[in-house]
Amino acid sequence: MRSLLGFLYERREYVALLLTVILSLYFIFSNTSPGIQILRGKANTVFSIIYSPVMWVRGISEIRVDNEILHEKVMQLELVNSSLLTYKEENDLLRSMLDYKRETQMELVSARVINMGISPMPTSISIDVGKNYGIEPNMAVISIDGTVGKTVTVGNKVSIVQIMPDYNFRISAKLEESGSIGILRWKVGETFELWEIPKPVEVRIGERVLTSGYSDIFPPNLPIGEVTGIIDRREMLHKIIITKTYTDFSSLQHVFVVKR
Amino acid sequence: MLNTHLRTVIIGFGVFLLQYFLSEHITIQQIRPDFLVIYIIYVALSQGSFAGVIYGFCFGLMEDLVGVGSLFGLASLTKSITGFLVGFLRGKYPKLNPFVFHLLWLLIISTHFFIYVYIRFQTVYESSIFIFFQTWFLALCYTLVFVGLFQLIHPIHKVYPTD
Repeated sequence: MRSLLGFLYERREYVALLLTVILSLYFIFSNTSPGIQILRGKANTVFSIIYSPVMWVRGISEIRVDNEILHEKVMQLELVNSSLLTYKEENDLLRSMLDYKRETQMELVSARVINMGISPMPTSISIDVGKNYGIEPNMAVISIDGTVGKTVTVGNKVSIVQIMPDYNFRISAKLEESGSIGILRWKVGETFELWEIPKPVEVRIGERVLTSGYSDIFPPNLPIGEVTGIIDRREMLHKIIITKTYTDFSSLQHVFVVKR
Repeated sequence: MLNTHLRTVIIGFGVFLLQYFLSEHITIQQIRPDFLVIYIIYVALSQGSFAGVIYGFCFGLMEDLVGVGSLFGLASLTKSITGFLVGFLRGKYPKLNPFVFHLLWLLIISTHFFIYVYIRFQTVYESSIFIFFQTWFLALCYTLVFVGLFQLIHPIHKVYPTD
């Protein structure tokens, strides 16, 4: 026994490597286990407290810029609002005539992005709302530009959001003009690919890509991005639509969580 | 001995916080430098494979805990392996040809990023081998830029083994 322990001690770096590799692989293969999710939720809550002074300083420096942007937005929205009021009256009239049921409005919880992770490639963000705001895992997260991702781990005050540039992220999407539905996934950089679009479908560069609604997470018709290219080879059964998202994932500051 | 480990943990935590606070601001094309792997290389060169594995695993796990969308455990895996391999270069600079010494740690850090990018971007590997290697190369180069800058302060060949 003593000689075995001596043998293991002499080769402790190999033993340590073996154990750490086994443990790491165990963690990788049990990513979705509740224990690990809770642990990560708690770790993010702690680190968000450490990060809060930086957020405070950053927030102050951003206020002036935000104010200018908001002034500009207010002006634009005033103009849009006046025309929308006209459309609303017309829409109300048509709805009452056709006896349509009023569509359910989304319940949104606004959140501030407190961290964008530290891994070499960004795949998640932390936001400052959690269970205290009724957030649950698998809720859609959007920005004013378009879809952002979905909540994966929810702590009491902080949630982790898996963002669209995570290679594991998939979203059911449709082309606005043809209504053709496919699966959107991240390719590289800011490029996404919409798969499973039938070959006969006419696709226009610049056409909008929206959520299809065939999902328990994302409501229909949320803007995702626009078509920037089409891959249509003879040997392929479907077209691949190259898409650029409206959301700039490198400068996310405020998002909304869509509550069910 | 205890002081060495305490100092390693404190500096490591400092590097971790540096990465935590800075990485968001120095992201280029969705790629960030990995300060922690640079630190693990220095730790393994000064304290050997065993310390390299242990610190690589612990700091990798901390990195994993702070918000990675998927693949929790990947950073701890790659950093443990890097710490283990670099540890074999401990005290070898006077015995090896300098070119071979530098080539070896460059190969190890390249392997680190290869494993990381291979596991994280399996779909890219399957669909476009060029984009896969481009991602790997850019991630590696961005971190190597910071390794290069750090050579001005504390060159790798001047990391002496501690007892």
